[in-house]
Amino acid sequence: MKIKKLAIIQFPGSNCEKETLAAALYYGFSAEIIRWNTAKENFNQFDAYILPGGFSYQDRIRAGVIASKLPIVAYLKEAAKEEKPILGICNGCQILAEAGFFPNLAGNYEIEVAMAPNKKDENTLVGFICDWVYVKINNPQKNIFTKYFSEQDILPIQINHGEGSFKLKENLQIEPLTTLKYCNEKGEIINDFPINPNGSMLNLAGIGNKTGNILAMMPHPERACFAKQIPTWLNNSWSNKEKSKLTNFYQEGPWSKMFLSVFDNL
Amino acid sequence: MEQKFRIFVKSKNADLTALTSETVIKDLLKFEPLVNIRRFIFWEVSFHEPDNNLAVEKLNKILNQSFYLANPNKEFYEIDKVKRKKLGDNQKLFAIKTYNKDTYQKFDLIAKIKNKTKIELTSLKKNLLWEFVLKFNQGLEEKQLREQFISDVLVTKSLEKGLIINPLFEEYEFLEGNTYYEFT
Repeated sequence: MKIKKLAIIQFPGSNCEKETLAAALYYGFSAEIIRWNTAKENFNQFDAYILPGGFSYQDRIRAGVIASKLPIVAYLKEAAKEEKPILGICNGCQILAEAGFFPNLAGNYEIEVAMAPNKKDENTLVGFICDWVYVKINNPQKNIFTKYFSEQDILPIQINHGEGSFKLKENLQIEPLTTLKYCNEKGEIINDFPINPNGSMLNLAGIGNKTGNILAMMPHPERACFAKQIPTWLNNSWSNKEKSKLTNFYQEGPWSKMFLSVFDNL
Repeated sequence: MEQKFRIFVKSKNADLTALTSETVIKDLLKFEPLVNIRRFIFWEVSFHEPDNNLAVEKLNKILNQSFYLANPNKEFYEIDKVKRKKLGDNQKLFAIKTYNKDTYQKFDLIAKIKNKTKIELTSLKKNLLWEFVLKFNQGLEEKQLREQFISDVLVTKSLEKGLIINPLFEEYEFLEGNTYYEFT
């Protein structure tokens, strides 16, 4: 069986690379953390890439923009053109947005989405948010990272960001793409704080690209891929009931399917 | 009478964002004309006060007691104009105001300032003032330099082009030097 190699790119200020690595290793990848200044030859040997969460370059100027100018992101662009899977989580999502990787409907890698500071309403900033929320996935079959999910899934997940409000270029038609949207515990997508925790347009929490090999999302799937990670106070089938049945420390959680999906379909 | 003030706030410590921006523009975006960068938080403040002297007193009270516009312990501020040394003959200053289109009007801060100082502002806007000193090649027209600067440095378009603002939620405006600067 072919070894499937996954790279987790560590930028100066990344802080989620280790738990992302733990998830990738558990679900079958030959995974390793590579640094932002790795040689191109080393970078190119991998089959898939994850840009993890954190605060690359202290979010100077804007979250993700400094990292987006690095040579490694130019290598990543070549990998994207070869349709290698690329997942951007939180700061990773911000970096990919500033580099025009998604949704890239025009096909020229010019920016079409921005991650603006969190808002509570039209003109009130709400600051950094750290909380558990719920999301649903539209068109899951159109992206390699979400093929194993269904549109009926109501998925608990952690958010931890200050600049996660999706702003779209005018007239951008994203509904045909894979999208993640904030919802309540019943799965209702309501554009109201705190169900929409950061004022994102269309309650967006993540968007895929046209070719289905790139997914950028603000919430953290690596923090909810084992059942033990789900807090007991969450009013969701993944919390109380499942925890009482826990027999295996690494029992699958709501986001295991993301890692399984990309592993099996690579 | 409506009193309007401009306040420019700068850290007493090194501005790491300005330093990083300079490095990225020179080394990664390869924009050669850049010499250096300076940044200020730029507040635009308005309130009613018929007496000009009292207006200045009120402004200083807000600045020194509220801590919402500046922290005098670690920041210094200038009112209405920024003091700057004159530039060399072959240098050009681009002074650019940038702001978040949606959230630059600080209604929530107006309420907090009133609560703390009993002074009611009619308007409070938060911007950034970026100063870019550029080498000005006499053979290059200023208009050309400006266009190149906007395209290569100012407005983010892709991983290769732009850095300072994201046009999807930020705006910019070039400021004319004479009204904003006191050159020494």
